[in-house]
Amino acid sequence: MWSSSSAANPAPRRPLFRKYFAVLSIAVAAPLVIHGAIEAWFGYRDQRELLDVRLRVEANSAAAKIVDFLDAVRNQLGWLVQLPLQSSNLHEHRLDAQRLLRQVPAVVDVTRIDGQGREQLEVSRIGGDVIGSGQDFSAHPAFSLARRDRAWFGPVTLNRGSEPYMEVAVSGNHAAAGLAMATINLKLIQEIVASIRVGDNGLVFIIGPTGRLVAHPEIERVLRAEVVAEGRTRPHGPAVDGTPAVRAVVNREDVTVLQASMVIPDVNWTIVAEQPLAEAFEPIYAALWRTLALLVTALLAVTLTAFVLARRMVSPIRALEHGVDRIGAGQFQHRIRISTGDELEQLAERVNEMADDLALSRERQSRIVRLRQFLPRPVAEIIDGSGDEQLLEPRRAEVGVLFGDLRGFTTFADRTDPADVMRVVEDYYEAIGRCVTNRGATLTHFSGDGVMVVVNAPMPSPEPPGVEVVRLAQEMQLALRPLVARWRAQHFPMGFGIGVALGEATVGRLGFDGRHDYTAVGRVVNLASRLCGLADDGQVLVDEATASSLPAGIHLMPLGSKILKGFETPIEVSEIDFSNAWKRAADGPIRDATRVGGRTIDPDPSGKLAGGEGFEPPLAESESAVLPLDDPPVATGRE
Amino acid sequence: MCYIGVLEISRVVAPMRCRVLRILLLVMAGLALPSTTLSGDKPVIGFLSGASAEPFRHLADAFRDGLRQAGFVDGDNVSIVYRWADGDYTRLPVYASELVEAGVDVILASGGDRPALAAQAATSTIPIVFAGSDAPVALGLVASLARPGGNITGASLFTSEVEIKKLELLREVVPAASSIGMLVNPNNPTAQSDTEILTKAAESMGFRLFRQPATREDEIEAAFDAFSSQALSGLVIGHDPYFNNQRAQIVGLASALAIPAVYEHRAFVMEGGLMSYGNVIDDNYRIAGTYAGRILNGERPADLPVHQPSTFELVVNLKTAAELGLTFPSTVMVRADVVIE
Repeated sequence: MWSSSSAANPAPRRPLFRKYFAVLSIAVAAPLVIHGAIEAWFGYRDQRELLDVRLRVEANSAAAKIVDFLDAVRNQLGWLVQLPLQSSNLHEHRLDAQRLLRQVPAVVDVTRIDGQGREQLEVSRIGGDVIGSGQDFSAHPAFSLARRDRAWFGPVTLNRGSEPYMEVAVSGNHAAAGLAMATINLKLIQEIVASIRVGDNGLVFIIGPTGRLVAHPEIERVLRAEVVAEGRTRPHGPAVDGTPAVRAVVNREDVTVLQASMVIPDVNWTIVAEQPLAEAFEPIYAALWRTLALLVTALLAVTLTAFVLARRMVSPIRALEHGVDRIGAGQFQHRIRISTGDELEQLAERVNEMADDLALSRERQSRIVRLRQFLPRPVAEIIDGSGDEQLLEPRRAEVGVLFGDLRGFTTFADRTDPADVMRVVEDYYEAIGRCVTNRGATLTHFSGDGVMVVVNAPMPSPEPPGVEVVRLAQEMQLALRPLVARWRAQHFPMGFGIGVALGEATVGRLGFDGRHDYTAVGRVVNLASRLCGLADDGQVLVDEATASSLPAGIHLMPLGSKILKGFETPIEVSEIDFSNAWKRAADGPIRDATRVGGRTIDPDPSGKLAGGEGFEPPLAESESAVLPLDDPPVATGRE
Repeated sequence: MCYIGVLEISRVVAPMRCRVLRILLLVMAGLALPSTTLSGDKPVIGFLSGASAEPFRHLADAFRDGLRQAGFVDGDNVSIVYRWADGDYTRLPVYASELVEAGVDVILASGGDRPALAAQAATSTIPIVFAGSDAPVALGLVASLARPGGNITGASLFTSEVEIKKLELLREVVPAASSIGMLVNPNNPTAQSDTEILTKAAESMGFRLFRQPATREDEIEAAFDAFSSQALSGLVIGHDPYFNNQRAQIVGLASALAIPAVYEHRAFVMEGGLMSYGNVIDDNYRIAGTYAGRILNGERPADLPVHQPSTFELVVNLKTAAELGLTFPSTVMVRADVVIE
């Protein structure tokens, strides 16, 4: 039963696992993502700064190397111009020049010019040496400028249209010392820039005043005489000792690069240190990858955690569900066993307690139902509430016993449509039941058209049992009057008679196997039954004990001694005079004359009310007792 | 290579007795095979030289060095087909055509301008790299040094100018010389201009230049016979790849004549020659190697500028000098880059 109901339970709309997963994921992923973003951003910033610094440093260092190189050439030339140039010492000067060529590989040739601007000596690596050519160099810019500034750097020219060459001139400290001029193959400074690597893909190159490449790690670009920057994009930077500015530009290969540039004085070259901007993004990518890896790991952990948590939650919940199902199915002895030590365990405890309460409640309910078989609900509840069922234990008690019985019912039932019979019985039961309940009497037997009621047991009656039972009888008769009238109107010739007796009887609960009835056994019961058998419609016959217990207010009409079956001695029988009752009910429909025992009793001696409609006189015909006397009525009410 | 790799894997896997895996690997190898033979078509370089293999061994090595710098290893991811003309320049056009017909990817022209010109005549599409042209622009190999423009590029030499330097150096060693012999190879395209330049220079220096042409081994002998008949103070061996090829013979002949001689390359001095002045030609072959590699990597020869030599070395052999009863003057010694003792 429970299993089918739990099988019918649909899967939860939002399972715990998904909830835990979502919450934990957010709790884990959010800080990770934020951390990753922060790391990426700061990494990028740091890297940018680092790149800037590195580019500046590389530009500076490259510039310093170039300056060193130029200084070295200048210094070497300075040696040549220490001695004055005379025709007598040309041979020495030539040797000096040759040694210079040996010392400085970049120098292609050296020319010595005297104070008058005449070439006296030319020593070359390639061609033949020339001595005393006397060629006029006085108009050469080197002549005047080197004299003025002690040193002169010529423009970058192309040897055979390819190799960058430059002339450098240094003058002596006096006019007679003349001038030493050297042609330098700038291809050799390529080694300087080629040895500098900025980051992974960065480089340093040099641009001449005209925008042509002077030096580049890839020598072919220099030999191709590439012009990399024509004014527009040509970077200008501060002097060697200044801090070069770093900026992002798009270079010839359409790559965005960071460039730090600075200008070398004297030669007016621009040194550019360059690095692809993409390298600055590397920490960002690294951070992203790290974050992603962490995120994946964390999510795996979260999944596992959520799974474990959900499982730990779900299994007690399942146990609860299962338990509740079983308890709901009535298995109150079922116990939910959860020992998680948390609120769930408490909840299980509560459910277990609830099962106990339910069991108790159901037991009580069934008891009440049982009691209600013969006791009015309040009485049943009182007995049940007190838990004192001693009241129901068999004992001797003075009780008023009432037997009632429909006259003419058997004939009617035989002749009439069962539906009508059932309706009649229903109305009859309802009327009788209401009277019994109102009085708080004990209905011990109700079957067919007969009814047996005990007063003063098990609950003591508020008034003496004789009075109580007679009042009940009166009320029953009154309650039955309109019904009898209606039945007669429908041509159902039926009436209602009551027999009442007072005396000691054995009362108590009787039964087996959980089926109990409350009943009374004794002479008084038989007597009441016989009296009922005597009673005509509308009559209430009482025995002597009852009659003597009645107060003055209730009038009796003695009917004399009667021989009753089962009783050895004659019994004094009285009929309750309903005159007052009829009168009281005169406002109602009951005011007809009543016939008792074959006589017509005029309830209204004044005759004022005689012939009133709607109230048929009780039937004259007397039916035999419904209840067999040898067989005292034993309640057969079912639980 | 891929195929071999797979086979090796299968060999490693074999002891595992994992038959399925082995079969799988063999199937993979089988699938890989056709594509391997296609893509495994290693690029081929045609090495066209006017000289002989043995004397030029060190230069071929330098070339392969350069190739390696560009990422190509002979026999590994590139193969080189050698054609040595052994000084017989008439074989050059035949070899050049052979290489072109074989569909080589790059032709290396070794040993002066002759092989480069022969290759140029044979193809205008296959890239040609020369390792030592004396006058690439003048001979029409390239449009300009900076931008060759065609299918030819390489490394050039300063030779004609340097001949004067050699003459100068020789005169410094034998200052009293009045007559100096010179060996020239008329097959060298620059022979004529060189002779003119040198004759003029010799005149200005005040001595007679006795010029002897030689294009073959026997002619070299004949030339030295002619030199021996002259009262020569010294000998200038003209720059020429064939002379470089024949350096053992030439140095031997000079030694037999006991005549001071100046040569073009260090290799002559290593063989026992007195002195040499000139470019380090190994560098040229190295550059040619990197250029060949870069061209194989997709660069256009038209965009690769012709390299000019920037290193000149003076090599002197003190032992030979002593044999000749000579001493190098200080003006020579201070300039010597390499002194062989």
